[in-house]
Amino acid sequence: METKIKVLKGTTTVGIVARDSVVLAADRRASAGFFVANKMVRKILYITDKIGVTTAGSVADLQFIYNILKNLYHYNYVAGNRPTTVKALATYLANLLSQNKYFPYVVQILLGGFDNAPRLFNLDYFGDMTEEKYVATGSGSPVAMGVLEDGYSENISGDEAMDLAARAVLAAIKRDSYTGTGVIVTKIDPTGHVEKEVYPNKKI
Amino acid sequence: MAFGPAAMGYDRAITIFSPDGDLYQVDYAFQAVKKGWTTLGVKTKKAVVIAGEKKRSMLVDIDSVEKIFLIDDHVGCSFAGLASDGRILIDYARNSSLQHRLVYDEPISIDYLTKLVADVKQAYTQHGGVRPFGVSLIIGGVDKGVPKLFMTEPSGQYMPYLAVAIGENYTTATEYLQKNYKDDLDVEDTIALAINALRSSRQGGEKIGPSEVEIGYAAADTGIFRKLSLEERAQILQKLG
Repeated sequence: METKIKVLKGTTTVGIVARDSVVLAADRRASAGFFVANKMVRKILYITDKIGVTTAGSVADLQFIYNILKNLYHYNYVAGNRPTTVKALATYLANLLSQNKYFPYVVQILLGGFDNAPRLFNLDYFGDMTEEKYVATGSGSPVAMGVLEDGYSENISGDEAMDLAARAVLAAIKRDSYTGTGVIVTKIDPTGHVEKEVYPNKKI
Repeated sequence: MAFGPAAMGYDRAITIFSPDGDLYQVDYAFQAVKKGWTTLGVKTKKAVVIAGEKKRSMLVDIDSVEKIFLIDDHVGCSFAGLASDGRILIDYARNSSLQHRLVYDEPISIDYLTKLVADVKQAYTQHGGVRPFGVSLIIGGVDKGVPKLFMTEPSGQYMPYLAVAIGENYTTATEYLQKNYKDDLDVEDTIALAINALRSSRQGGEKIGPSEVEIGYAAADTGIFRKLSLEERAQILQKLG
């Protein structure tokens, strides 16, 4: 049963708050038990141009939650209402997850974006929400975290943070079998986001 | 009671339009507002002020009667019309503000809060078995450093205002505000303008005592809505002469 459900349990995602941007990174492997269910999955999604999420957990739950957040944001945007900040979305999501903690959405989400300042939040399926300067989640997080601890400094530039995030996920690809294929890195700043893809092997 | 062809019962069920396109019960609710104590709001670049008149009545403890209501740290409110109806809407506004903080960890915007309250009022002009709210609310507050002022009507209509007056002497107060409104006043002068407008609306230029007025304001720089104490009101009134 377990192997039949596509669950992105094995994953590595990374988030870094840089000087004037937020960087998110995630690998591209979807695993179902020992089986690689998909080699080219996209785990970074955008709620707006300037708010991104990295996703890990049940794909079904993630898609559902992603749609809720996107709807919430765009309804409020069109209606001229707040809230439209990263913190507001994170708080809303933390409430949603907390309310469902006895039959939870199995997700681990990084919410990163730029409103007045670069913000990064880590949320888990019980509704825990923490604001972070740098963070790694998923099965490869111990490996990735080591790289981040070594390379992170306050006031890191956006491009340096992109390289660091990619390096962290690539390290996890090497040492965690549930993490693989390559990395999508994104940098979110006041003008929007730019993405970069990094692959250790060309042949996929 | 006459049930001639003129009435036809159009004023009985509020969900029914008259042939002229009026909802009579809603129109009557406006009359209830016009009977209420005069209340007004003024917004300048530096502050938003809400002032309301309190009428003496023999054995009522006037200093314990509330006329300005705190909704949240950054929002205050007053109303004219049926006080009991007003209380319900104020309670709703308070709960909505709290819920917004719980769900989003952010103070509610004044626009959105006003819309929520006005939506309730609108619902009571369209559903059967209910009557409209006989109150107009003045909602004022500071939203990300910018003063905001709104007034909602029994119909559910709401508008942003620079200055607005409701209640029995709203016409004279509005005239005064039209003549004397400026948007570059500081906080104290905005309060003074509100008090003077309230005074001008009193019949025969009757003096106003500190117990007969209540004032709430939010300055743009602090973003906090607070009410003036009896002593502060006495001081300001003395200064204004």
